[in-house]
Amino acid sequence: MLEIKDLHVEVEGEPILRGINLEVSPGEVHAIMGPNGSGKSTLSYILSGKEDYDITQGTITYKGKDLLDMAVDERAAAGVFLAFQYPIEIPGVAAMTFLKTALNAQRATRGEEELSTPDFMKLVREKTKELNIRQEMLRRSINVGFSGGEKKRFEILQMALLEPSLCILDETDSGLDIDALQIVAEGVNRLRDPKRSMIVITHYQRLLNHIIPDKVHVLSHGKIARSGGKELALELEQNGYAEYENNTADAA
Amino acid sequence: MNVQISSTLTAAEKSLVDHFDKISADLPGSGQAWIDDVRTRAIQSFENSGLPHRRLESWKYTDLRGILREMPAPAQNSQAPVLLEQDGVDAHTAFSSVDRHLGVFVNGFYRPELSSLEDIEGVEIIKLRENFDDLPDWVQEKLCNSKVYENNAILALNTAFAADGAALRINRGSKIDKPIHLAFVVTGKEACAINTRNLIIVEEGAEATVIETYVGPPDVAYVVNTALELCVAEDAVFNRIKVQDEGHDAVHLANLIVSLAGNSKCHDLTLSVGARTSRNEGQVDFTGENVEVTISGASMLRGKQQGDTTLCVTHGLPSSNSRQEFKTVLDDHARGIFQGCVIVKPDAQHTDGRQMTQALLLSPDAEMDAKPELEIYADDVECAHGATAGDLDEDYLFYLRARGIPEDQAKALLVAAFVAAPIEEVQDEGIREALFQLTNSWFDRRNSEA
Amino acid sequence: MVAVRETVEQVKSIDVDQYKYGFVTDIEMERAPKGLNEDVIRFISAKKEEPEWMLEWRLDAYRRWLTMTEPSWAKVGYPPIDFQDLYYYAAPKSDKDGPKSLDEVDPELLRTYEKLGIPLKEQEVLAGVQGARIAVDAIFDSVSVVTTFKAELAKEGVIFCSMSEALKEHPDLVRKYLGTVVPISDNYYSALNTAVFSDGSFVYIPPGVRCPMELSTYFRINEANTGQFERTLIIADKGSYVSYLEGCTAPMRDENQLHAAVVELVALEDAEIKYSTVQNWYPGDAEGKGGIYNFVTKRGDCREANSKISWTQVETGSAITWKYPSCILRGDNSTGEFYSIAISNGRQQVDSGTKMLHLGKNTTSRIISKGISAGKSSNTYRGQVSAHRKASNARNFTQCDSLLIGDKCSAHTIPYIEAKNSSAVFEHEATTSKISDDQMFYCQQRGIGDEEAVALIVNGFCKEVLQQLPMEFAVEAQKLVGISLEGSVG
Repeated sequence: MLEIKDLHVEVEGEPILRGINLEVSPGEVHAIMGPNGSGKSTLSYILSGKEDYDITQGTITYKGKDLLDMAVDERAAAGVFLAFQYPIEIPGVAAMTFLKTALNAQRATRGEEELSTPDFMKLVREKTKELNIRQEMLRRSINVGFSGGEKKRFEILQMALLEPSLCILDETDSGLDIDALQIVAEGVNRLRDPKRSMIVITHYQRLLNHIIPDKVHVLSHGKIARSGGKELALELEQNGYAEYENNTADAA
Repeated sequence: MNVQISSTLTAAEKSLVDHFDKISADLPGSGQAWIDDVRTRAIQSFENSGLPHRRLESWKYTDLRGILREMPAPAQNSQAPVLLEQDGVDAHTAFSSVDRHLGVFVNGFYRPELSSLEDIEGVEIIKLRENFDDLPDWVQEKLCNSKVYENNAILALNTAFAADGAALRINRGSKIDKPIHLAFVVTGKEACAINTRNLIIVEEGAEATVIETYVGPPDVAYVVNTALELCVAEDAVFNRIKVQDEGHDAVHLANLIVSLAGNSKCHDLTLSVGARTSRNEGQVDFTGENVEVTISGASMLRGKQQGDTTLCVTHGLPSSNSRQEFKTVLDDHARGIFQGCVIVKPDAQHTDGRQMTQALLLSPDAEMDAKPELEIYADDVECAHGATAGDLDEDYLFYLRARGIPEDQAKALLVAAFVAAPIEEVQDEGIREALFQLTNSWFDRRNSEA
Repeated sequence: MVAVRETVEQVKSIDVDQYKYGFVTDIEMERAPKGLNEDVIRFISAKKEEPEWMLEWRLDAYRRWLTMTEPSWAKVGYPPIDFQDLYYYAAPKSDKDGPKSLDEVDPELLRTYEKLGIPLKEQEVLAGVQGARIAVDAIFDSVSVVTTFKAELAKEGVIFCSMSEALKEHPDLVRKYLGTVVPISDNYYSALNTAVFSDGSFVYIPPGVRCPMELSTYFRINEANTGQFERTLIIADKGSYVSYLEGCTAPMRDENQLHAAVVELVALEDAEIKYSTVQNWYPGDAEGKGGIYNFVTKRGDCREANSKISWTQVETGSAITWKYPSCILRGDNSTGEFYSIAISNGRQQVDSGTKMLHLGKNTTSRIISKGISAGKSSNTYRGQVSAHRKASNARNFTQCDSLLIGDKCSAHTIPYIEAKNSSAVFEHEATTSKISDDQMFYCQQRGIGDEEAVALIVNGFCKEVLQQLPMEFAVEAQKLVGISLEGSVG
C-alpha cells in the first residue's frame, strides 16, 4: 500500500524529518506516536501533499506509484485521506455542497459516473446517522460554528463518504471528551477493512484503546526511534517520552 | 438651443455637446418649456465641468475623461426583433425562472410587446417616453430637481439626454405580489449611447422588490448612462437588486439617488460582472428617523475590466442604521475601486453606521483601490468600517484539494463563497438562486470569455 | 487599582492653567529682514557659512516653491498665510558662533529650558533617576543653542549635533543623504523648508552601533512673527539602532505662527530607527485665537533589507496640524510602524496620519491611530497604504479609532488602500465612538471627578500607543493627555 524510504524533509532549511522508513500493508493500522515537535504532523502533510516543505531525500511509493509526483487532489482521488488535526473553517462554502463536490470530483477523476442528488442524499443520511451528525449542521459553512467534537465528526463523515484506501488520522483525539472520542473511534473502526490501511497519529495512548493498532512506531527527532506491537503504546503510557526527548545524540 | 462650445473640451466632450444640439429637438417632451429648460441647464452644467477626471477626488481612480476618448451617438428607437434569452448564463436569462412582472427596454427604449407591466395591482407605471407630453406631477417634480445633478456630470448628461425610462409609484400600503423586473438590453453591432432615467416612489407602508438587469453584446463599445431616483416613504419596505452584466467593451455609468423617510427599510444589492469600465455611484439621504438601510454589492471582474463603486450615506437625522457591504473579486488585469463614505451630521445622534469592503485578488496583475471614509460630527454614535485585500487563502485551497476537488474547481467554490454573504441577505429565494447561478458560474465563464 | 490611583494623582497635580509653556523668554535676538526673497535665503546661507552647493540647493527649492500652490485637500481651514509677513531667521544674539559648551550658553536660555523641564546640564541628568540619560539638542527659534553628551556619544562614533555644525564638520555625509528622502519639490511646505531652514538636528549612527542613550531634540518657538523651519536628518547605518525623541512648545501669542519642518530618516541594512514625538505647540485659545500652524513633512526610508522605522507621535498642540510621518519600505523584509495619538480640543484642527509605501518584498507595516476630539475641534486621520506591483507578500494592519467628547467636535477617517499585488494582505479597521455613559458612571460611582474620569478613560483608549513611548516620555505624555482635555466635559 505505502512505502516510505529514507524520507528527509526540511522547512526553510531546518530539517524536520531525518530519514523515515515505513511500510504499511493493506488492512494494517499503524500508530505513530511521539513527543511534540517530533515531526508527526509534518509526516501527515507530506503524505497529503501540502506545499511549503522541501523533500530533500527519499521516496514515497503508494500503490506502486510515486506519491510525491502527484498533486494534492490527485492523491485524494487515488484514495489518500487526511483527517486534519485542526479542520479549517471556510465561510461561505456550505458543508453539503462541499461533500457533494468532493465526492463527484473524485469519482470524475477515477472515471466514474457522478452520483445523482437523491442517491447522494441517501448516502449522506445513512452516514450522518451512524456518526450522530445532525443534517442541519451540513447546511452551515464548512466547520463554521462547529464545536470541536463536531469538526472531528465531520472529518470522519468525509472519510466514510469518500471511502479512501489510506486514512491518515492526525491527532484525531485532541480536544475530544470521552463520549465524542467513543463516537469518532467507532466511526473509524467501522471503516476498518482488509483493503484499507490507516495511519493513526497521536500523542496519547488513550485513542489506541479504541482503535487497536497492528503496529506502533515512536517518532523522535524526525526518525522512527522504535517500532513494536500495540504493547509499545502501553509502555509509553507508563514511561512517557522522556527517553526519546533526551535522546538528542543522533540529532545532527 | 445654441450652446457655446468651450475650447478646453476633449473630443468626446465636444461630441456630447454636438449630439445634444443635433437631437435635442427630437428628445421626448421637446417643445415643453419646463423640459427644454431642465435639459438645457443640465447640458450647460456638463459643459462647465466636462467629463470627470482623476484630479477630482471622487474620480481619483477612474479617469473617465481619459477612458472615454470617443462618444458614440445616442441610440435610435428601432423596433428590431430581439432574442432575449441567451444560451449561456447572463443576467437576463438567470432571472427568467423568477416569477416576476417584466418590463423590457431595448437600447434604452421601452418595448411593450416584450413586457408584462400592465395592470399590476397597487402600482402606477409611467413609461417616460410615451407620456413625456403629459407627465403627472409626481414625476415632473422629481425630474425638475436640478439639485441632484449639481456636481455630478454623469447625472447632468443623463438629465440632458434621457430618452426613456420607467416611473413607478407603489401605492400606499400596497404589497406587490411579485418582483418587478426592469430589463435593459442592448442589441446591434453599432456602438451607441443609451440614457435611461428611472424613478421609484414607494408610498407609506408599501412593500416592493425591483430587479434591474443590464446586458448587451460582448464586442460593441456602447455607453450606458442610467439613473434611478428612489424615494421610500414612512414605514415602507423596498428591496432592489441590480445586475450589471454589460458586454465587455461597454461603459456602464449609473447613479442612484435614495431618499428614505422615517421607519422605512431599504435593501439594495448590486452585482457587477460586466462592462469594460463601470461606475456605480450612490447617494443615500434620510428624511426621517429609525431608518434601516443596507447598500451592498459584489463585483467580479477579469480581463481589463475596471469597476468603481462610489457611495455616500449621509445621516442627517438621528437613530438610523446604515450598512455598506461590498465584495470584489479580481482576476487578470482587472481593477476594482471602492470609495464609500458615511457622513454623520451633528444632529444625527444614535447613528449606527457600518461599512465593510473586502477584495480577493486572484492574479498578480490585479489591483484594488479602497477608500472607506468616515466623517463624523456627532458624538453619540457607533460607526465602524473595515477593509481587507488579499489573495485566496492557501489553507482553504489545501483543505478542498485534500478532499480530491481539483484546483480550478476548488478556486471556483472559494470565489463564489467569498461573495456569498451579501447575496445570502436577499430575502426572495428565487432571486437569490438567480444571483448564485451568476456568481457560481463566474469562475468557469472566464475561459469562454477570455 | 494602583495604576488608576497613580494616574489620578498625575492628573490632579496638573496646573489649572491649560497651557503652562506659554511664557515668553526676553532675550536679544538677531533676525533676517522680514519677508522672503532670494536675498533672505542668501542671508541665511551666509549666516550659516554654508558651502555653495547648499545655497544652490536652497535657491532651486525656492524657485520651485514659487511655482507651487498650497495644498487644499486637508480637512483644515485657515485664512491665507502672508509669507512676506514673516521672519525666516531669528537667533539669540549671544549665539554668534553657534553653541559650544554649556558654560557658554546664555543663562536666560538655560533658565527657559529649565522652566520647560528639559535637562540641559549633564551633571543634573546624571544625578537624576535610574540612569535615565538623554542627550538633548535644544533648538531655540531658528538655531540650535546646545547639544549635550556629544563627547560621550562620540566615543561610540555616534554623531549628534546641529545641522549647521554637521554641514561644517561632516559635509559629505550631509550631502549624501540630505533631500534623498523628501525631494525638493515633494510638497509646498517641504519646498519652503528646503529654501529657508535654519537649523535642526543631525544624527549618524555608525554600522553595528546601538546608540547608548536616547537622543532628543527640543524645539522652542519664542519670537513673534517668526516661522520655524527646522530640518532633521537621521541616518542609521548597517545594523545600528537609535531611539530619538522630539518635543515642541511655544509661547501664547494672539497671532498664528508657522512651523514647517522636514524630517528625513534613512535606515540601511538591518538598522532600526525609533522616532517619537510629543508635540505640544501652543494650540491657540478656546476661541481659536493664535496658535501654531504645524505643517510638517516627516518621512523615513527603509532603504535596505531588514530595516525598520517606527514613528510614535503624541499630538496635542498646534492650532492646525498637517502631518503624515511616512515609511518607504524599499528594502526587502523591511518594517514600518506608525503609532499615533492625536488630541484636539477648543478650535484645533488636526489632519494627520501616515503613508506606508510597500516597494520591497515581504515588507510589513502596522498603523495604530487613536484620535480624540473634544470642544469644537476637528480631527482627521488620513492614511495611505499601497503595495506596488513587485511588493510581493506585503502585509499591513491598520487600526484607527476615534473618540468624540461632546457634540460640537468631529472625527474623520480617510484611508486610501491600494493593493497592486495579489499576494498583499491588507487589513484596515476603524471605529468611532464616545466615552460611554456607563464608563463615566462607573468612575463617578467610585468617587472620580468628571475630568479625571475622562483622563483615565482616554489614557486607557490610548494605551497601545503610549506603551510605544520611551518611559520618560510616556509619563509626560500621559499627563499631557489629561491637560489637553481639560474643560472638555461638563
